[in-house]
Amino acid sequence: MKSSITIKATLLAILSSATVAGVASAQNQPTNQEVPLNPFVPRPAANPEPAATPEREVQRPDARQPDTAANPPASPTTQPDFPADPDFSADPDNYAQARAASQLAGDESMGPDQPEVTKRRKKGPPVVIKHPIVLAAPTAHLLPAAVIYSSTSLDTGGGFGSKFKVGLGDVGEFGIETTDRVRFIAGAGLDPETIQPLLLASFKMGIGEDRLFEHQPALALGFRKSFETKHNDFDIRVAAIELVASKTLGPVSIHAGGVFWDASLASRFSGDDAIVLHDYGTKRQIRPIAGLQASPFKDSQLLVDIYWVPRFDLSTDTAREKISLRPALSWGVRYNVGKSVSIESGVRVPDIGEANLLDAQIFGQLTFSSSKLRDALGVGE
Amino acid sequence: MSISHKYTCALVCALGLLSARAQPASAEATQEKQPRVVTTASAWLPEAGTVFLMGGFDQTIRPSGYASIGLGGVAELGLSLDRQRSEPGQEAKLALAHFKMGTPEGFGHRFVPAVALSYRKTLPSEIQFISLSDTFEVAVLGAVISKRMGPVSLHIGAELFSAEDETSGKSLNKVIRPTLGLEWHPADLPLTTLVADMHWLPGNSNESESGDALLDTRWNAAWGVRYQSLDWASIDLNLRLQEGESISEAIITLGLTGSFSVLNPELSLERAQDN
Repeated sequence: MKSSITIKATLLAILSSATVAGVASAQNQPTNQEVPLNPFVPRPAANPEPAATPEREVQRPDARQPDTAANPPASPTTQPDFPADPDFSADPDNYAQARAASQLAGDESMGPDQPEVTKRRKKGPPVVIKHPIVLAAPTAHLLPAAVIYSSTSLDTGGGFGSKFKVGLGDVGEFGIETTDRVRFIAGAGLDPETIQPLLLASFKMGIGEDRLFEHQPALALGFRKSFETKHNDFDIRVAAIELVASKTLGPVSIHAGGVFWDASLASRFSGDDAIVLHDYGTKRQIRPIAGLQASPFKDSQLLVDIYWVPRFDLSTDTAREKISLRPALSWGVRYNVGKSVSIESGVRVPDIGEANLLDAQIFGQLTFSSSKLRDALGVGE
Repeated sequence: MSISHKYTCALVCALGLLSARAQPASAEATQEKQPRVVTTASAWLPEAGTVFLMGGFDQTIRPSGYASIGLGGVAELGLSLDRQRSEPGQEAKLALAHFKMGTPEGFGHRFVPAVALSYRKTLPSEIQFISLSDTFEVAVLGAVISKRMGPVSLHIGAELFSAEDETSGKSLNKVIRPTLGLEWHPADLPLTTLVADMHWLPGNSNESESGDALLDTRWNAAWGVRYQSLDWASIDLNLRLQEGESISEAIITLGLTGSFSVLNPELSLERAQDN
């Protein structure tokens, strides 16, 4: 029965995220029937040089220019995680100019002037989307307003994780996710097992890089909280506050910050009080987090991060040790397959404190982002 | 059908859909820059979106295989099926997932070799299609550098092992062993490459002084020839020998290797032109 529920929940998560984000991104894919000179309709690159090259002539935007789409920098400070369309400038008047020029040349292929009401609706400039997470650790980058982001991962241990996020007004981000990072040891001599599905809601707010002053890193404060989950006759809850700063230095992005966890473990059948992490001192709750992204090529990034997650351990007799934070190391790559799709893969070591090589897992992750909702709502015009 | 089998089905379907867009990869990718020498990992990484498929049989018609995909030119994700003689007269089937990331040769400076960090791990038996009942679990963290010097490519590395045999309770924890690989591309035989490599794998049980049951590592050597029959495919004929075996017990393997560009052939072509 439990397995059946897990399967249904997993399939539901896959279907929902794939349907919303995948279909939306698919609608962004170019077709031969698109109006060819509309500067905001993606099409296959005739000139494959992208907007941002690996050599990246870094032109830092003026201070107080956020790196989000509502107020995009004149030139991106670095390669966006999902590259902008290389063929078209961000100038929304290009289409009208191109059509006027073609009409002067006697070319009616772009059609005669139409009444104002029938003109193609102008879309905002291309959005620069930076990933809100490295592999496990959060970044301080926020999704642009009304941009949808979805990722689904599998690993060799059968672990499954999925995230669905939406950008709020260029200063916030809301998300729902299911994770396989939190582990549970049911008794002495038993291997850790993942708590699945562990459903969490998340909210992150912050400011973009160079927003307040030049060289200011992006800053974000995030909060994640699980829905109450039942596992092995226990009620489990976790919550975390994350404070992160991100700075882009040419082809490298550095992320550093801290996470403050709380967690509770309550037996469903005994009358004992719940074991709560915050009863045993703040020092047991705070841990550093760090991440590094490097872009040796324009479509790919090398990623490494360290993050801490709670572990519930029933093999110990002391209540204090039943909940602890364990360091998880992840390394891997992100490959941008298309304008809105990327594949991430790598290795995650769930507890580097134990240094058990057999415990590490290889994972693959598919990520979609879509600005279709943003365009439909007219955000950024 | 278990959920893990559904994952596997979904993965196979996804690979099938990707294959529908496949195009043959370059001859260089197939012949000169293969992710394995024979059985040892090289530091070469497939081009972005390039799929490597290798399949073969030994003299007793036991299959082996290798499939991987290049991610962004900086990583490789794949699966392999191989055999390892864990004890005299016994064989362990090793179905492994692997991930390798690194930088290509000449990255930053023309004398810089290709560098790669890899991790291989046996798949849990419940997610394998065919019941591979072996309980021999292996995890290998490896680092390797590869350098092309004229007609010769040299691969040198080291691997850190952990292994566990649940049936016997034997284990092997954090043992480091070297790896070595050599490829020779004769100038007068442009379609032919001579290959040889050596690496260690867990096996050959011993007992420690304390009486604990332990696994040990045994060297595995392989050598053979690769013939580039098509631009995108090659035929491999190899001989494999393991520590403790006589030459009469060596395994002869005949394999076919193909490589195809999927996902985004335009990007692969563009990167090749950049290089």
